[in-house]
Amino acid sequence: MIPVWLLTILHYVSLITGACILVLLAWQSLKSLQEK
Amino acid sequence: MESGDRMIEYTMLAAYLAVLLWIGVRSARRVRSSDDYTLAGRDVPWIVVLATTAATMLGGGASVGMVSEVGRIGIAAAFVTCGWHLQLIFTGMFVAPKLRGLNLITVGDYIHDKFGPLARELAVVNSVVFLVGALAAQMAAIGTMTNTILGVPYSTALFIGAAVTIFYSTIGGIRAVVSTDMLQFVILIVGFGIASALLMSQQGGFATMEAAANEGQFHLTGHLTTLQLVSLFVAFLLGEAFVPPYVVRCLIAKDQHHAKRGVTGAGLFLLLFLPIVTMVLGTTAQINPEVQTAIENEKQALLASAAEDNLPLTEADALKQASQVTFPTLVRVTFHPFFAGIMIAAIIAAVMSSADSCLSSLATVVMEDIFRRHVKPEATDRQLLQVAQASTLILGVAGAVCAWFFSNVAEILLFVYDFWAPTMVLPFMVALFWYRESRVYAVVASMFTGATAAVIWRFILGSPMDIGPALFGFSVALVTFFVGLLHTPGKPHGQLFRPGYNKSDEETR
Repeated sequence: MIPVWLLTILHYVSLITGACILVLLAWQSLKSLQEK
Repeated sequence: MESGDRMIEYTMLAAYLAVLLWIGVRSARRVRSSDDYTLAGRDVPWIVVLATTAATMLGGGASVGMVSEVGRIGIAAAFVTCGWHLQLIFTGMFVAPKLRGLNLITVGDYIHDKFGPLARELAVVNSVVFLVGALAAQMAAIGTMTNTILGVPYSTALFIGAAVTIFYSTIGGIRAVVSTDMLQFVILIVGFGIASALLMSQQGGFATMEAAANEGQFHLTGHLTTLQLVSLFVAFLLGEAFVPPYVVRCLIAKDQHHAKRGVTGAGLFLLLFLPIVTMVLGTTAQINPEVQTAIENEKQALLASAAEDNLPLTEADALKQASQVTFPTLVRVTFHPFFAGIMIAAIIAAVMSSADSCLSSLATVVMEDIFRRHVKPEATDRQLLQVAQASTLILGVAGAVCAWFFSNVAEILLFVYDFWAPTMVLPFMVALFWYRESRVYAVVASMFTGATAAVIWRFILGSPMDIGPALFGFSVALVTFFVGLLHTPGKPHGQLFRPGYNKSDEETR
């Protein structure tokens, strides 16, 4: 059985990771647009 | 369901397909050489490699399938799929920089470089079997998923989905595939992330969910035996290790560092993101009465339809098939039709992006491993580009025709995932960590026996004792390799076993 507190932390980590990746992708898209 | 809501879903899907076509046309303008078409000019930055690798992994099985499985058997289903993500992390750390550094084009090139022409041909046969089977299975999944989710007839859904996929893949090659993967990745991450956060807040946290869910839902092993768990984990770990669509992601990166960061990042991201998010979605689906009613209704409809057509369908198989409606029903009953429409478009996009990656890799294999190597070694770059484009078109149509005729044998098509590991994983591991020319014979022998053992285990013996063909075949390949080491001479003799990729071929390009 996985403790509830661990699942909660993992869920927050997953959401923050997703948000960070999306920000990085947006930054990369802006960078390549500027290069063009 | 109200017809207005259904119209919103159709509109979202139509808009998504239109964007895919536009991306295809836009990408086609940037294709000037066969390198652009098959390897995106080898100039893709790591964050884009990360997105396209993750999107390729996130097919229908890893998204909708996993939510259904967590709802059906518990979080153990999400736990075993960590094998997929660990495999990607390993590939990124150790394989991607080496492959990118060698400036190769296909898996066959690498195997040839290490184990000679015979091993290369075996690798090419394996690549073709894997890619054809996976392409047809994904094309069939486009038809069945659209049919289950939106009620569009299988043939219509297959025709539209395949036509769009083939169109943008043919004109834009891997550049179009990478761009569409980016869009799919963003939609999936935004959709899955927001859905899991909203559902978690509606449910009031994991403690409330645990109290309402079935007993054993939060056990790491679930209802699976240890042997089943290990076999499944190994199947996920090895089943897609070093398959051509991932190898291509290593090769399109700007340089070795970008390849390493991109592929490792994809594995790490998926490991942190996907299992926990699918756990939330699957468990919420399990405790939502409307979702459970929809699954039961779908199961009864499937059983009635099978009885009408005199087809054998067990209650368990019907439930497994019916659980495909879990995720779409969950988003429909929980969210505004507009957001539900985006999610449903994303589900179908997930399957399409896996199909286009197989199609693109298959065209590269035909161009490089078959046409340039066996038909016309002196071909110009323009001819190679034309061959790659024609192959994408013809093989895409062939894949759709296979999916049309053989939709009822999807399980056989999925065997290709069990067939790859016994033949190809060991050669990669030896080449990377324990390479010597004297080991060429043992590796080639292991490729033959691993494949044969997997076929016999699956089709003749029927996978006894809950051991999957991938695990059995890989074990046989391993034993053959070590026995082979003891009985083979030092340096390899003969043309067929001589390592070293033919550099003069490369120079003629």
